[in-house]
Amino acid sequence: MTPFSMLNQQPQDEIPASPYDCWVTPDGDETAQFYRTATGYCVRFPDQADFLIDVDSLSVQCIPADGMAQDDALILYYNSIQPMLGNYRGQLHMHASAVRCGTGAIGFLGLSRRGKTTLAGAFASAGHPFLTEDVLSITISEDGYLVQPSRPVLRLFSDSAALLAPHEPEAESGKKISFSAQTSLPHWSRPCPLTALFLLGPGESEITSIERLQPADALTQLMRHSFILDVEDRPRLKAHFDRIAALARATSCFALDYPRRYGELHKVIETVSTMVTGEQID
Amino acid sequence: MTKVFDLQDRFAPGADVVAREVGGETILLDLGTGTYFGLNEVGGKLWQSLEAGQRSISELCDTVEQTFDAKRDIIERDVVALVQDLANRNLIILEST
Repeated sequence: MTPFSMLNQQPQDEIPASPYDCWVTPDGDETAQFYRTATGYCVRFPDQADFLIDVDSLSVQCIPADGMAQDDALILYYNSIQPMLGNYRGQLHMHASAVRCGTGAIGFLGLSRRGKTTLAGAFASAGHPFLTEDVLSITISEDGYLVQPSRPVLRLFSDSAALLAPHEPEAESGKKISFSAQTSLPHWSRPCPLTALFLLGPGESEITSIERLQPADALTQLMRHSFILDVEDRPRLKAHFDRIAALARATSCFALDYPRRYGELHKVIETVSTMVTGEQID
Repeated sequence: MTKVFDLQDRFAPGADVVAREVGGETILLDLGTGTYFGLNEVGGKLWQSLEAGQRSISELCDTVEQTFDAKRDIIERDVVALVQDLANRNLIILEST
């Protein structure tokens, strides 16, 4: 368990150093910047929050930026900092949602706004409970890889929310709102064997396509969806590469793309679930 | 200018390079740049040999000749080309000539 504390809001002063790493969206926006400090690291989410990490204790101090609600800063902690620290400790966390399908769990990996949460919600509403909406935590058991459930919450943009949780209060446009699991959006609260991983494409395709990835391709793609705290920490990066390579060897991985239209989701669900349950039978 | 290597030139894997075999392909990760490279079966065999201490181009050619059915001159041409490529990308380091 990581010691965590939250301070009051503060203006985000300029940090007098260059970041050693950044997370950049395909549009070129920096969503996170990584700095070294005297005692460890500062992970800055511009205009949102700073997270100061003590490298010895791995304790975390969160300083929300002016105007940032503590609850929103806490989501950054759960969905970015905690998995990053988990990987730093030698665990396996990736940026993905996951649902129960057949007798196992399948994960959907993708960049932000690629539709991970919406897809998990759509699967859930079709009777495949979701395990996690944003962070895929995988453990290793005697029987193979297990997907661990996370909080029974889905955070959806207003348009997805209108489809998947029509009776809930309307979300503000452009902002995600949290929905607790419910009868129509069930959550699976027990560890579940990992069956397959799907890497979400950009949605430019007019048809639903599923293509099996060779393990070598899967390895490089899975690495891109990992949470890495220190890309210059060679021993930890090497160890994480080993863990992902083992995962890529042992797990069926597919490239999944589909038109990002809500009307298409039922076809995606049917195609994926038929394929996954068929593979289980085979 | 690209250096032309001799069969007796010896190489070592770069210190910042990690390799793992997955599904018959060997993936190299350059930890310094975060760049990935894929090696086919022959390339993967060469990498294993480099890691095992067979460091000269000539020794690498011997390994390929023992494992794969091909003529020596073709093997030497292909191994030199691969070594050249790996060296240009700093994935292997020239130890001695």
